Amino acid sequence: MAITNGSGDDALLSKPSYALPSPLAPPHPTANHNSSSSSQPFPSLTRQSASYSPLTDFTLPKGEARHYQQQYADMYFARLAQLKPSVEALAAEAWSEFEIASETARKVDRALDVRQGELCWVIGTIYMEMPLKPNILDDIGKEHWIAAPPPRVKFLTPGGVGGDQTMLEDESGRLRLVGGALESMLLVTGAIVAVLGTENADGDFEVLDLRVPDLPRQPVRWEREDGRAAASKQKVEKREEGGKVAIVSGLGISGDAGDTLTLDLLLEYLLGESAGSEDQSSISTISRLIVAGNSLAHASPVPPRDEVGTNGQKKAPHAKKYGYDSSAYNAAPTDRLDLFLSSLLPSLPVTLLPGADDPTSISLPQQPIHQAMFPHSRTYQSPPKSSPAEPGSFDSGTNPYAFDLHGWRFLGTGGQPVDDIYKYVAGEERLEMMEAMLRWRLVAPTAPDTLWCYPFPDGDAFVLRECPHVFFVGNQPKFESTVVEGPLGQQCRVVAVPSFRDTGEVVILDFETLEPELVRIEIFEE
Amino acid sequence: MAPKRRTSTPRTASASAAVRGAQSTLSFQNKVTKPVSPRSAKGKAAKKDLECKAAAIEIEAEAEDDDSTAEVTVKVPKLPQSPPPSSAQPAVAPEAADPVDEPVKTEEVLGGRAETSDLGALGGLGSGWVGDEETRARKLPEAQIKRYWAEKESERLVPRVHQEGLGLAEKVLREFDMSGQFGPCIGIARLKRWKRANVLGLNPPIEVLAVLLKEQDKGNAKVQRAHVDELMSSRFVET
Repeated sequence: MAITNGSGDDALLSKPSYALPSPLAPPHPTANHNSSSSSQPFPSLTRQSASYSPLTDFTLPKGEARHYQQQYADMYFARLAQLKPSVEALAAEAWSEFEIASETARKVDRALDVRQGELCWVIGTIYMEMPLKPNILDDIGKEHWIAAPPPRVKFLTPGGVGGDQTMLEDESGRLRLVGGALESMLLVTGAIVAVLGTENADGDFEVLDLRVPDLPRQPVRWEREDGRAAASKQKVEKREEGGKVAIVSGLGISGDAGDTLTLDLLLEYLLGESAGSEDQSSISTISRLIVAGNSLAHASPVPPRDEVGTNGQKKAPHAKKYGYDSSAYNAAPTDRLDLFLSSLLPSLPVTLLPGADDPTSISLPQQPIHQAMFPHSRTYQSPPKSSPAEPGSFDSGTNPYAFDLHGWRFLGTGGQPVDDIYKYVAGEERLEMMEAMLRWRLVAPTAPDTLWCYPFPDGDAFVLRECPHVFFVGNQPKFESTVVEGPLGQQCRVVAVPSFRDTGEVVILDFETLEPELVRIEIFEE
Repeated sequence: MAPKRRTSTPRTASASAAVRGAQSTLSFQNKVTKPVSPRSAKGKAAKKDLECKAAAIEIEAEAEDDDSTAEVTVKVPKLPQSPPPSSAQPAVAPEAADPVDEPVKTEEVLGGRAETSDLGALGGLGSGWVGDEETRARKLPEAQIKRYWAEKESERLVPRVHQEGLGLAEKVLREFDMSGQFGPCIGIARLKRWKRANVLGLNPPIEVLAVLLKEQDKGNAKVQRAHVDELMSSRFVET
């Protein structure tokens, strides 16, 4: 057209004057944008950037190096061995002068060394014996009988204590725990605790007091960057003040027509296209988007427990139970997700955590969603062989995931550990469960018991060695947040992120105050 | 559209030649020009031979220890059961003749040791050592091992039964297997279990490590697997 019109090539490269410039230019503006041709001066805001460096705590070795011959007993043993020293220190401090009727409490090394009538304290792993827990025999039964029992919301025996028992276990044996003090405690299988009490005439251990490892050491802000700079003797560059991060979870893209509108509104909000100028300046401080699980709806390769044996009747009548029916594959959800991310990525870096419904491994720690799922977005990812310290603009992470963002240590999961703990306890308070997870120092305490998990041979990767500054959990029923305080002055902001598909809510976290705020995107229907 | 061919010949030239019978075809049955990785060769042998399972655990342990396949290459000829894959690895065949006399250093083969990675839940070294236990254990005198064992025996009121046919090494190692404080002994090689206990700070006895390393240097592959592991696992021999 330039040839026929007689105008030069420059006319094609300059922006036409009628088009509005994008208010949030990418951090590296290209040379083609020629603002002299537009008549109205629109200020173009640049997005704030934040330093980002992920940790590889939950990355499993690839291929041949991943072994499945070992039993889960190794994992429980390693967990106890890793957490025993800290619980011991706390318990010794608390109970060294404990006396009842002039008898002092004595530390006992193994669970079986407890003598009847003697006041002592012992450390072990909690095991909850619950008859309603998922049982492999029930699963086999489901496949042979017509009617499957309905999936349980909670494993507790209804009507009180009945069949549920709490036990303390270590390598020598088990002790049944009884006592009124247990009612107020939040306990699930896999938590490492120290209990003080005596053995009564029935052989049960009556608990008087209980101690958990409590929050681990918290790194100071910027600790890793400063440490690295000190080690390589480089000067630390000046850091920007302010900035925010947006956390969303449960996008639930299923390829249906219904989910595109809210998703597009979210896209426009994050790119600043749909807001006024004051909002735009606050949106331009959002330096990263974290997608915390369940971006796709039912893309998990293994159907959830309640759907095994239903022949997939809920989803499609011709879907096979075993084997893979390739004609039933629908590429629309992953295409939609890829489109969403690739529209967002030029302007906003994204961290993607997989969830229970995402197309990656089922057992925790879920490995990153493969690059092959994102043909457009993967250009923003670093090439596969590069070191994990430079992830590129698009970071496909594990679940759970730990990373340093603008100096703060973030730890996040897609929601499976908290949902599993919810089934063990009578309460409804999700924040209490998240606080308990931090105090037990376990990201997934119920892991080998009711949560599928990789059998770690050398040590439990879910043990928290350092307390994060922000702990976010995705796919929760509603937005909640609190600050958990530790014995050494640690402060951790705990955020429960709701599912975007159900509520339309996005959590925005400020970097300087670590206070969350909520943005809700809703469509009014007549 | 391109004009169709008149004759319906098979697509590949070699297949069509074979069909016509004009040329001799290449046979890929016996000739392997590329060295097969020792790990895959090991894997196939181990599946068929029951006794090779112990060797496989050791190979995995060793390969993980040193993070390079070079060490695995050297260990292959040391196994008494498996046939040396001579056709696959002409480079290793000369070493198969005298495995014990000259252990090849990892540094000399294939450009040296791979760098240690800090993957691993405990964040320790890739090879699993903390400090200098390996050198200390290798220098440990035999007398100290005997003294350690005498101490263990004196703790008991009655002598051990059913252990008359075992040597001191196997007795020490079985005692280590049965010590529950170092974790389960099934499904893990003894050396790996020692290293794991060491990294977790449980202070496993250095004498056990000395015995393990001595047995390993002698080329005894079966020592890496706990006796109860063999009893407890039901692996049938394929005939």
